[in-house]
Amino acid sequence: MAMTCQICKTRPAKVHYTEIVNQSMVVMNLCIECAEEKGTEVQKSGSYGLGDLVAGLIDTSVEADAERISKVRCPTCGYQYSDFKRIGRLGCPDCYDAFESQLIAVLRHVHGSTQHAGKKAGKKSERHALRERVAELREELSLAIRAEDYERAASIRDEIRALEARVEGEK
Amino acid sequence: MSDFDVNEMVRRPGAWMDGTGEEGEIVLSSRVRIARNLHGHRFTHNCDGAELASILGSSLEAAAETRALARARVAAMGEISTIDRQLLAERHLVSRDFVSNSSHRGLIFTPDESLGLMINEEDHLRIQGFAPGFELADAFRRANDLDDQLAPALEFAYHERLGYLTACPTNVGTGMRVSVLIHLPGLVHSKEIHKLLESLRKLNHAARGLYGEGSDVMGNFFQLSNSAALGTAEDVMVKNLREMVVKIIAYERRAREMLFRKAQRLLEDKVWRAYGLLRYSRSVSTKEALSLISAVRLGVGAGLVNDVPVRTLNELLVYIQPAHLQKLKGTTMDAQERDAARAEYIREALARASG
Repeated sequence: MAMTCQICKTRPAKVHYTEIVNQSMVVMNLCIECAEEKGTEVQKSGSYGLGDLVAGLIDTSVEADAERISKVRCPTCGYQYSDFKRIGRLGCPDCYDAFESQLIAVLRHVHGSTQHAGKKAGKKSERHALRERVAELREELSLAIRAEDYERAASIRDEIRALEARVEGEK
Repeated sequence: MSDFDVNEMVRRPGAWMDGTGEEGEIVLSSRVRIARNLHGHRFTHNCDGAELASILGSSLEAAAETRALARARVAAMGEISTIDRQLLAERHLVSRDFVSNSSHRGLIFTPDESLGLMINEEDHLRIQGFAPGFELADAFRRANDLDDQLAPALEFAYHERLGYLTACPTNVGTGMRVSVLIHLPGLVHSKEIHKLLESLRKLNHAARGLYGEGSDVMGNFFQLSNSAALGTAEDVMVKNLREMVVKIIAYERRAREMLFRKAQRLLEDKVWRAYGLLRYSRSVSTKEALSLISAVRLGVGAGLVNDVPVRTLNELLVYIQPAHLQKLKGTTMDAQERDAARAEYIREALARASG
C-alpha cells in the first residue's frame, strides 16, 4: 500500500525527509509538494525537457501575431518557427537570421544579452585556404592536359609546386 | 588515434577522479564544455544519415590533425555495444542521449580522459575539458586549446553579433558551459541548500544532480554551472563561476562547522555507521550507496575518517554504476545482482584503502 504524506495526509509520500532536532534525527515521509515547502530540493526528472522550457519562454514573450510568426520559414532549411517552438531547437545556423526578431526576446531572457562578447571565429587558416586552392588547381591541370594545352598545364604545375611548398612552410 | 578499448578503460580510472586539485574533498571535478557547429550544415537533429556521416567524417579528419588528440582513442558509437556506450556515459565522456541515439555519432578522447570530443551530439561538436578538484582554469585551457586547434580545419557556424551558433539558443554565443561537481552535505543538512539553489537560479546559474541533466540529486552531490552563454567572454565566465564556487565552499564549511557544533555525536555516529555499512553490507542500491559515500566523505572532510583517500571516494561514484559493475564482472546482471556486486566492489575498495 502506498504511504501518504505525513504533513498533508492526502498526497502520496514520495520523499524521505530527514531533519535534525535536538541531537536526534527525525525521518518523515513526505509528498513532493510538502517536501519542497520544507526546503528540500526535489528534482523532477525526465518529463521536463529543455524543449518545453524554451518553448514556454517564447509563449510568454511573443503572444501577438502568434499565427503569422509560427509560419515564418527559414529559407535555407525550410524549418518553420512553429517547429522550433515544438522541438526547442533550430533547424540550421541560418535559422538565427530567419527568426531573428522572435529569438531576440528568448536570448534576452535566457542570457540577459543579445551580443556575443567572447572568442571570435577566425577565417579558415592560411594553410587550409592554400590546400583548397591546390585542389582547385589540380582540377584545372587535368582539364588543361585533357585539352592538350601543355603550356598552360606546365604553368599550373609550377603554381601547384609553389603553393605546396608554402603549405609545408605553414606547418 | 586508435580504437577505444573498453577493458583498458575499466581498469584505469580517469585522471579527473584522482583526488588532487584544489578543494578536492568538496569540489570533485571541474568541467568546461564548448559547443560548435559546422557552417553549411543543418543542426544534428535535423540531418539525415548522409549529412551526419559527412559531418562525422570531416570532424574526425580535423581531430586527427590536432596536437591535443594525437594519441586519442576513437569510439564509433554505432559500432560498440549498448553497455560500452553506457560505460562511456558513466565516465561523463558522452551524454545519456548518445547511448540511445548512436548511429553516425562519434567520441574521441585522450587516454587520461581529461579531454573529449563528441561528434553529432545536440551540436555537431561538443568539446569537454575535465580536471580534478577545483581547477576550472585547467579544464578551460584544455577545451579551449582543442577548439583553437580544430578551428583552422573546420569552418564553424558563426554570427558577427550572436557568436557561435548552436542548435539550442540557450548555448549560443560562446557555446560554453563551465561547471563543477560539488559535495554539499552541510548545506543540505542545515536546509540552506534550497536558498542557495534559488539564488543561483537568480544569478543565472543552474544546479543538476550527480549524473547530469535531468538526474536526481543524490548523495548531496550537485553539478553547478553557468546558464548564460551569450554576452560574457569565456575567461570572465570561468572567473564568475570560480568566484561563486569560492563563496559556496565557504558557506558549506560554515554549515558543516555549525552542524558539528550542534550535533557532534549524531554526526559522528552517522559517519561511522555509513562507513560500517559500506565496509560490510552484502547488497546496496545506487541511491543508498551514494548517501553512505556522502556521509563517509563528510567524515573524511572533518578529519574523522583518515584511511579513505578522496581518490577512492571519487572512483566509487563512477565504479558503482551499472555498466562499470557489469564490465568488471564480465557478465550482464539484473538489479539485484548489481546491488550485490556493488556492495562487494565497495567492500573491496575500502579494504584496499585501509589495508
